[in-house]
Amino acid sequence: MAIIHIQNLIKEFRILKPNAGKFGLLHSLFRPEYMIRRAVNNISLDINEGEIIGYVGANGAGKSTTIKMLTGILQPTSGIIEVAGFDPWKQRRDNARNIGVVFGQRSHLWWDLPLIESFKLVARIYGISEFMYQRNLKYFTDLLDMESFINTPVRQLSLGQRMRGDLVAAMLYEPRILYLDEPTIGLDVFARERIRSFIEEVNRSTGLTVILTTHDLNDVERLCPRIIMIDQGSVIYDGLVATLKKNFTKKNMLVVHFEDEPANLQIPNAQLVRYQGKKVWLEYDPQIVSAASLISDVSQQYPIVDLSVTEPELEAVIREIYEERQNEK
Amino acid sequence: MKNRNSAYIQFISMSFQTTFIYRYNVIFQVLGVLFQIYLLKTVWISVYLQKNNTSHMNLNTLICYLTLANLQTWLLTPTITDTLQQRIRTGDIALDIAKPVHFIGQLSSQQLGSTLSLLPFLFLAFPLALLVGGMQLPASLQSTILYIISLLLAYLITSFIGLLMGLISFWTFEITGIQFIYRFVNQLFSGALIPLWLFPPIIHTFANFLPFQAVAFLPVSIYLGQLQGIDLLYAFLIQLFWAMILYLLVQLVWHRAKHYVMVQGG
Repeated sequence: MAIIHIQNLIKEFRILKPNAGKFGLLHSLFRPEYMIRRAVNNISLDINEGEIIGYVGANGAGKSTTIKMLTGILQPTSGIIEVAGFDPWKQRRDNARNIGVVFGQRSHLWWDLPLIESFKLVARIYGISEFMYQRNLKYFTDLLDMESFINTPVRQLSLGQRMRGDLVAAMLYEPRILYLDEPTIGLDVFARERIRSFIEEVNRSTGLTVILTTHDLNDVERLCPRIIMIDQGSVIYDGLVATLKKNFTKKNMLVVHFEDEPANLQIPNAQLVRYQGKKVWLEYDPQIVSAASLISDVSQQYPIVDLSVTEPELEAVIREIYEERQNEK
Repeated sequence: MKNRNSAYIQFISMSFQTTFIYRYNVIFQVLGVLFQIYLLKTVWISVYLQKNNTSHMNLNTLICYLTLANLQTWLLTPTITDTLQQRIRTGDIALDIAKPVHFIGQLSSQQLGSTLSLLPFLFLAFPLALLVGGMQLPASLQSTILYIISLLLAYLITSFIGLLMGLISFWTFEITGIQFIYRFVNQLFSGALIPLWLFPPIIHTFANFLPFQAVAFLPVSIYLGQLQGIDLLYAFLIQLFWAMILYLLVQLVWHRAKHYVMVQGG
């Protein structure tokens, strides 16, 4: 049984038509003309309890609009949404108890007051018992190593510390689903890793369902077995990250470091994409030529110091998919 | 229900704490009010000296009026407007709306906490206000009780006005212009600078139609025992009327704002 069920979801916005011409501004003030823009176009999805989903797409693809409808702060134009049995729009307050929301650029926390005050507020808003509050607070603050700054006013915290604070604020009342919108934006590598391992740990130990919206595909690659890609409001891929990589990319990269700068390198089954002094990047299709035969081919021509084979990163795969779609238009 | 109340109490407590973090700002506000009371007193003394006293109020009563009216106007200045405007600007409002506690309730309890947090400062400022202005005892026990009731109604009126102004930023994002007009109009038509009975009849009548007189003029007149019988009843009816109208307006505008955000995506 899916915890999130979306069927034929559509969201249209009525936006002001920009009015060009001499008195455009004046004209649109008195006689505004509107046009309809479809931000989410007929999306259907099912997400099971305990999954971590990577929800990706370019800016303006409709990701945030979908998340807003799932959290109940935006009314769908048409279609069905069910989140843990509730209609998020019609049963917004019931739904609110089941979900935690972290928007990377927005905050639950009270800027001027010690972090702990915001946690107390969350505990009371969601009406959790003192016992549950203390237990969860201890669990999360230990996990995220927050002991040292829990009594510090939020405005004095670093971005990474504040993000940890926001995560705890969204988790204290044990929601079943966590929506994360750009949770690692602007964070350094250590802070990112801490947040990723937190999500992983909580998901593993409590079966939390996580919907992760991000531009940082390292987040997705690290955390999400399943990825949902959207473009212009429609789902263009929904499946395993591994399958996506296998189906969409034909090419691996062989990086060779020669003893001397190679002149006139002849490699029939690979393409030289870049070279820099003694270092050369070769792109090849593993279905046509194996890495082993390619290496022996190259080493016969010039002596090799070092080499490495890299599989494509998710980011490259996704870039390729979007470029293909652009070209089709 | 119990849960919700304890959430509101935490909102009140957090607003209270926030004021104390910015206590120096509050101290400067108080100094400003005291300075204003002092200036008004000197101006009115010189007016009284120049003209033969034609007013129906003696100078000491007038000074008491000004002192009380200005302290009260300061105490009842809504703070929720700025809070709300900031949350809307940053988009944090989306998180507030998603919480399982009524949004207007969240805001109202923050306003309450913020007003309550000024009371300790008011007690500290009071002896100084006696010094720079002047004070009289309330006209009677009855007028003391009625004054407190009237003050509570004035609180409702200003906090609803504050909410309304804040809600406007759902559409405009910036409301400093509106706030500027509000401060000016409120000071003038609440009677905090000049008692309303000294206004020319036309403007006095005009002021009678506005909610602002309910903020300073009416409560202070009740304190001084200036309103009796039918006038007293009339004063309470005006306050009640405005409190109700503004409450309904807040609900209406919030409903529109909610629709705007949730259907149009803000």
